Amino acid sequence: MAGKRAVEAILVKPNECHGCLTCQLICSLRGSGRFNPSRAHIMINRSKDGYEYRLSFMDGCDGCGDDILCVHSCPYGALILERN
Amino acid sequence: MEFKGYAGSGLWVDLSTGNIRKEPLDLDLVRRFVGGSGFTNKLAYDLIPPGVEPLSPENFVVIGSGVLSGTLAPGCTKVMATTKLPINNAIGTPFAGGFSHRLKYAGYDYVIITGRADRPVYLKIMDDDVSLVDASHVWGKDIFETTDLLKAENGVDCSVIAIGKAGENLVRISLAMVDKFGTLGRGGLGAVLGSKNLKAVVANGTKGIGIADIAGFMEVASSVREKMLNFPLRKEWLKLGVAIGAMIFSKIMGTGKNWEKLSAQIQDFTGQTQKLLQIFQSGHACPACPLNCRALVTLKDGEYTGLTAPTSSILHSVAFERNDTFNLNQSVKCLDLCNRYGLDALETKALIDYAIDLYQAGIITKEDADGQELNWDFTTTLNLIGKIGCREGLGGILADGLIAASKKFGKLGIERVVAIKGLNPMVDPRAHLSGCELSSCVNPRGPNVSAGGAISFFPGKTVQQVAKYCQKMSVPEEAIKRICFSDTEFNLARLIKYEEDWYSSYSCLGICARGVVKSYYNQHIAAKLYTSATGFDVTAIELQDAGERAWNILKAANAREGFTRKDDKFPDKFFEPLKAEDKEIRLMNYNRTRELTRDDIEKMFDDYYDERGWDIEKGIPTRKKLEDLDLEDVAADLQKKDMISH
Repeated sequence: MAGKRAVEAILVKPNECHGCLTCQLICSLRGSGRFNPSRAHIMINRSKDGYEYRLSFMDGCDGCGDDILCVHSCPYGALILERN
Repeated sequence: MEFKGYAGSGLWVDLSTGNIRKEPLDLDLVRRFVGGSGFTNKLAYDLIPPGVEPLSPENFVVIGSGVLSGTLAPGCTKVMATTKLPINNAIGTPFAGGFSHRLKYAGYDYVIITGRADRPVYLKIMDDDVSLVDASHVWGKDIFETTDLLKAENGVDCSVIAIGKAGENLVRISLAMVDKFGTLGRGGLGAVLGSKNLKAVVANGTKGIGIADIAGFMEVASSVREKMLNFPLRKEWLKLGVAIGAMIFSKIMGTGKNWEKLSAQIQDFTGQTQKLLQIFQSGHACPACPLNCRALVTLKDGEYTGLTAPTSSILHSVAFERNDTFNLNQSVKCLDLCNRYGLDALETKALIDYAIDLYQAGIITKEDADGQELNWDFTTTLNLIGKIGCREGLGGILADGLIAASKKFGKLGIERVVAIKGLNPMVDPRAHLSGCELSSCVNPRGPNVSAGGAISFFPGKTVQQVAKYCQKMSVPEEAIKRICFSDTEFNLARLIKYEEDWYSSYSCLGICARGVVKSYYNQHIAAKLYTSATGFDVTAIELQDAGERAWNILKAANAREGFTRKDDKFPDKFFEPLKAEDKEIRLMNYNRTRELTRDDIEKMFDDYYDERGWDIEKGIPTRKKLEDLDLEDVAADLQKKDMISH
């Protein structure tokens, strides 16, 4: 399972997200060699009051090949890989 | 040069002139002071004119980011702000979680703020676009409203440091909050920002943080992270945070009713955790932290049902609770009101307790209290929070802090005040003497739990455990012998020197103050992360030395303000017995094998200054110590002022 197919297999559990940015940081490091959430291909969309999070993937996401770093890095179980 | 790990620049903002400039990171600053509080302490020493009035335009605020902030180093998002504090005229450094990563993404390791704007403004930092923006629409609004509005204007991902009405009203116990959860408290930072007409600082950016050795950095960071994920109590921690230490807190936390009586509430602290779990709504983590400790709480039934309140720790929900007349919902209401006003909840509670105590003792009258009775109840407390935040009536007197207020109430008022450097001591050494109570006395800015999580803060540790811990902390062997001088007793005062330096070096890197997070670090791990992130080689010992250097320059800054050993005072109250239900508790040594006298405490201070290499009589750094720490410039300055010998 590589690339886009891997992304499609990610189950997002927004209620588990604690807003820690780990997924974005690992993604930005892989993609740009630098840490910055704005350079990530995974988005954390916060509610206006900042208490809730929604996660989404941008078109540029290639699932890190087979690595799917965001899933493996999430410390709170908000991103889970569903194997077919 | 292009820095790795660092953002690479500092920012200067003069609110009086509107001038804003960017400056390159100074290599000597990096070499000697590493980053974070090392930077802010050093810059504050250089910039804050000795004797300056804290609420004048001439005071400075230096906001800093730890070197590891914004990276994947777990639990490293500490922001700090060094300034001259209006509560006690000390130069101090409040800390919180958050903001620091966004500041670095914008390209800055620190921000220097001085002057006074001619109208309410907020400082907007978006990459190279840095400007002062009119804040008239948020002036007068509470911290939460302000934060939400500024995020709506600048993108919800930005980070906001904001003050509330208490800061605007120059209340000397006011704080600033970071993204509604973090508290830059203890000492009146909110009033300093308010005096500058600076309602908020907003930051975000698109610049990335480069890493010198990505593979090396990720190997160490991942190893720390894995260990944190396997923290045996992680599931409970993610909801309760520091409240999981209920059993420990029940032994070391403070007393009720203005230090008169051991609170039954605190004795039954363990039962509190169940109640806290019922109001827990959701956890909110600082960046890259697998050990979230910030909680949103919601009252699900009873009084104020539906109230949702962000807390820097769910433990703070009980800050106002009094067993007999107060319940958890009422306490949350008080905490929420404090946060909205931008009042330091711990200090506010202490002031209100003090006022009620004086009223009950007949020292202040109903007339003094604006025609109202002051009782140990919710109504009095809620009423006084509002009055302090708005400086109304009696609240206007209390708004200047414990010492200033006590002077308004005559000799009897002064006798009943319990404070260290003008601040509430927070913990009662009679319940248990730990490193926290001692370090609160010698801390340059006054009491706080700076080195919290260090071994001396916990009761029941053996000499063998302390010796092992000291080795982990890179304490020199000869010092370990002085600390662990017998098989049954260790020297608490000598130990806290190293705990402070340990904490100080972590603060340079931005490593969190929470004891659980810090327990996954030591100087060797921290040095590896720093070296791989920046490309600058540093050893564990050099990192510890940098922490000591940062601590000494902060102490020197306060020595220059006139602080000496006389200010490192153990409150008289703690030599009186503490009344519990069926007994009296007296001040005892750490092992609780013997009662302590004033002479014993003074001897502990002697040992502390000796271990620090400071002047025992004055309680300030010596020329030799400063020179050993590569602080010849500070030594020359203090010598010029005849504060140290030639």
